[in-house]
Amino acid sequence: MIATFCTSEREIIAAVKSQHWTDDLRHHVTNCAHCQETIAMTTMLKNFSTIDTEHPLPMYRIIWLKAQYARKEERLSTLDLVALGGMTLVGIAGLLGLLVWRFPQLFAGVFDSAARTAPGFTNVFSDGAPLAVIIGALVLVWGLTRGSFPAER
Amino acid sequence: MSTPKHMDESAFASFYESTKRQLWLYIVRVVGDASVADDLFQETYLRFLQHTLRESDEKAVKSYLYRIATNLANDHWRKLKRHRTWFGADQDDTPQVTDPRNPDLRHDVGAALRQLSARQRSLLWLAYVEDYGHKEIAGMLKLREGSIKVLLFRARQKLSEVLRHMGISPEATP
Repeated sequence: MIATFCTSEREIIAAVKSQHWTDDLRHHVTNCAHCQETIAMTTMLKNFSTIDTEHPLPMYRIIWLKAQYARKEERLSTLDLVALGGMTLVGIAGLLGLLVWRFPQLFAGVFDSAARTAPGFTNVFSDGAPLAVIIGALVLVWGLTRGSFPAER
Repeated sequence: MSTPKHMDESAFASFYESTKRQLWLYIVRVVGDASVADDLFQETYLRFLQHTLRESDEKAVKSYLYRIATNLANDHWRKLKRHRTWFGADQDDTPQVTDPRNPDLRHDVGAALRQLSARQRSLLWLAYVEDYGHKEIAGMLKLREGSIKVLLFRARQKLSEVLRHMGISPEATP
């Protein structure tokens, strides 16, 4: 079966809907089987579309509030992931800080090579260094998570 | 018009009021069940509000809404098909003909449409009720624009055939 199509189809559909028929269009329809079928199809479906127009639909606000809630949930789940990542970072940083503080000899090689590369580097790792590392990690976590908190409307 | 995710409440309210009835009618004609249509209707708007669109003109935004509804209706049909495969048909879709000279639109045309595939119903509805062009329909149904002409033709043929079989001949006078 070969698909037939008429370039006037859109005009015909518009005319069925508006009931505004020009003489040219009427004349065209009498000679075009495709357009006759288009009229039949459009009229029938258009009439069918008027059924159930009284069916109650929810108020926009219900959908709006549901969408806001879903958005908040989505943000919170993102925040959970970021918080988990942040806590892991803080844990690692804390552990490293503790290790540096209690067992400096473990990192002596690292500090020596760093001191050779950049003189004065070892001064950074003074007694307050572990605390500085932890504060640094906390600041990093804060920086990562601050955009994830849901904005109150 | 702003994109869905960035719509404020009043913009959504006016968009919803201007689209809700037509969208619900589209969904109910495609899925054929008012209670399912109610669920899909709400889900369509919820998903719509979660997305950001590149285009912000009204027609593109409305097309996007219909695309979501079509995808949800297709998902519903896939689930229903699986359910019927496993548990058997739970409803009789046999068309019930009333008076051939005066077709009962609700039952006869509804029954005739149920003989078509969900995609064919979507195609016919979008083309003849919503008055969308082939390009827009292709975007909504994720099909190639060139295929729409043939698919629409087949859907029309199938509906005409079913209606003829039911003894219904729709009027074709301008």
